[in-house]
Amino acid sequence: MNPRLDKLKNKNLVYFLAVFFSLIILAGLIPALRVPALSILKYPLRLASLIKREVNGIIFYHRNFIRNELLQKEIGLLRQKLNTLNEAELENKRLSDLLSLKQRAPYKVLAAKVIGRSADNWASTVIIDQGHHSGIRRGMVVLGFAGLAGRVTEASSFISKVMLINDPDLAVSAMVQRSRWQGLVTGTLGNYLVMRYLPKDSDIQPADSIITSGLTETYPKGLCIGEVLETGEEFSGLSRYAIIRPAVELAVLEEVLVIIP
Amino acid sequence: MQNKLSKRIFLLTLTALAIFEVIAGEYFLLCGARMDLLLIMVVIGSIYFDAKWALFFSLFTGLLKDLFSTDIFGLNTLLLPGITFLVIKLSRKIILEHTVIRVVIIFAAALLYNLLLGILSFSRGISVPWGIFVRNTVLSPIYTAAISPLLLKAIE
Repeated sequence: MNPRLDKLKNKNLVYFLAVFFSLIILAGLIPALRVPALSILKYPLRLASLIKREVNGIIFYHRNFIRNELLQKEIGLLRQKLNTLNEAELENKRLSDLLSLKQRAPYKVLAAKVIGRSADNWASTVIIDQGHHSGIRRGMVVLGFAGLAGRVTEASSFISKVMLINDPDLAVSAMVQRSRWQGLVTGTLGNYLVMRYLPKDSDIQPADSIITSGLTETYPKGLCIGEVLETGEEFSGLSRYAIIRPAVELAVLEEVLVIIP
Repeated sequence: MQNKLSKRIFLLTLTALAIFEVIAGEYFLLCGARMDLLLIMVVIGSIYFDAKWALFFSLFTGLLKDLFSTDIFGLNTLLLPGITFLVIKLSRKIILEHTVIRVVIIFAAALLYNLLLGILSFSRGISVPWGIFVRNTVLSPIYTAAISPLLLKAIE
């Protein structure tokens, strides 16, 4: 045996092991490095987002014009609905006072703009332009204007990351608004959500509204999640599932509201 | 080629592409599948630079990807240098001068990368529909490989 060759092989092995363990340690430090690094990238992201918005405005002028007209009509209809709901709320308050029910205080919200999206195939997250500085903390609930959008997973000083409800890593306790049957809503990385663990005899139909059940303290009760498109039976035959279209258009999310408890 | 391709420019390009993917990536979806420009650059770096610099660039790219991800551990920081290592080993066995061969290697790298991420997701109990899984593990690498000649041409 050549002692020089053996020495060289041992040296290569030590070198390889040193590099490997250094990589493991470095990868372990990533979560700590992520937050300050995101703070540094806030201004380039904001600038790029601003340029993108202006270019969009020029390119999609006609589409925006038509959309604006439709939205104006929708605003009118929603105002009427809001009036009706205000009346119902006042009546509810009177009746609740009569029954001496405890009312939960309304929550405070903070508006934020979406300045980026994850470039990952296996996750659905967005980056918003508010952080610790504005009172945002990890775990806070994020709404779109139509309903639940997601949850804050990381917050740096001026930027936060929000995991959207169509991310399969996020599960929300939900219930059918009409029949009050409860289940668990998870994402599929696609345009739809899945509500699982519904009992076989549960009363759920297409067009039913799905709202948060309030079983966990994280999500306030009554937040709109979406609408049932179809239902089916699980492969095991023991429970049912429902495919849900989210109330919030996650693909075109531009502004969000963060609930500040 | 290495003299022409400045390391500094390559590093800036990686950063610019990372920001581009975050800001405008959703406009370039193909049936919901994303192209992975950073992965293409990692393979290009493995071909054009020596082993030391190729590994450095793959580590940097992994860090960039992990910055914008929500995974707990630095997955990309571990995976991308691994892919670079495999490409470097392959480059010592076969000649990688032809564009077609490079595109095939980019496809294989993207396939391996997405497959590993998919399997890791499953192992953590995160389930996605089969259609989404096939989209991410097959369609996304095909899209990435189809885009790669443009970047290779730009580098050349």
